[in-house]
Amino acid sequence: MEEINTVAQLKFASQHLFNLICFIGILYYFLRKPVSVFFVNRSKNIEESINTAKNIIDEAQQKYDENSMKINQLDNEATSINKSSENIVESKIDDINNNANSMVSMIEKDTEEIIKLESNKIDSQIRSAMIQKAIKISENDLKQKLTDEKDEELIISYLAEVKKDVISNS
Amino acid sequence: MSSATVNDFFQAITSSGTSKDDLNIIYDSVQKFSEVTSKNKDVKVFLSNDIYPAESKIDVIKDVIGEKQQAINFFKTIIDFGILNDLIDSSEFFLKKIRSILSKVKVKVVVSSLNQRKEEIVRKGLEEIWGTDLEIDFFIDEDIIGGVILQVEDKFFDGSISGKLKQINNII
Repeated sequence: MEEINTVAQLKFASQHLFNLICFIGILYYFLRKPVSVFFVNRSKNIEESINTAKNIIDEAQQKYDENSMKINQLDNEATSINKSSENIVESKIDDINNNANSMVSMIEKDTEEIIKLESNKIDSQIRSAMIQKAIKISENDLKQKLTDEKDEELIISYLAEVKKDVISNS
Repeated sequence: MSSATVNDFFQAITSSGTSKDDLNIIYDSVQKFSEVTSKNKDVKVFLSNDIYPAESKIDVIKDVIGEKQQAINFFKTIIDFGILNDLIDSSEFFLKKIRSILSKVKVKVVVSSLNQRKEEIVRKGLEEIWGTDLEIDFFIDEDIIGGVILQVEDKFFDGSISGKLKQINNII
């Protein structure tokens, strides 16, 4: 019984194996071309994609290089601008210092001159006040000391002066 | 003042053979006229106004200067020449002109104090210089301290002590 089952099982298995082989053969027959075409196409696509990616990578590298160069240039320019601005600032500071120094010396000179003028003015004011005072004292003194006789003498001598003057002019 | 007309007027006076006495009368009357017109505004306004007739003006002038015919004739001529306003406004100019015709000299004397003796001294001194025909006016100004200040027509002589002190002050 067991032998009949084994034979039957083997027979069944061989039938199924045969069917499987036939099925695989049919599959191979029908699917060989489309599958190979599919895989060829697939490999082509992958290759194209790889090439495109390479190109993109190359372009990106190129752009990166260009940008790097530009950044370097910008860095250089920024450095030179910094340097020139530093120079300008330094020269401006020098100019301002020089101007301030010349202004200070001018103010010093002006101040000295003003002090001189003011001291001269005060001197002359003091002199004038002293003269005025002396004249006032002289006036009071003369008023007290001048008698009618002395006044007449003054008038006579002045009239003589006027006479001389009038005669010489005529 | 229209000086051409005034000059014509004085030329007319001098060439018309007016005597020195007449000119002296005219001079005195112009002096009186000048005093009144400078003091009395109503008289001045009346005489300056052209709407009043010449006869009325002459009547007013007669009241001011008196009835001396030579003087009245002078003022009539002034009105005829149309220079009465000039005479009112510039009487000193007219007086000066008449003085120059009369060879008269006007002297203003300023002294600090005045007495008979001093007046005589000044008068004598001035007569020695400008002759006897002088019109001397004395003024007292104590501020001049001493000496004398003279104004002879347009000329000015300062012989005062205050003047000398001013000179010293200016020099210093």
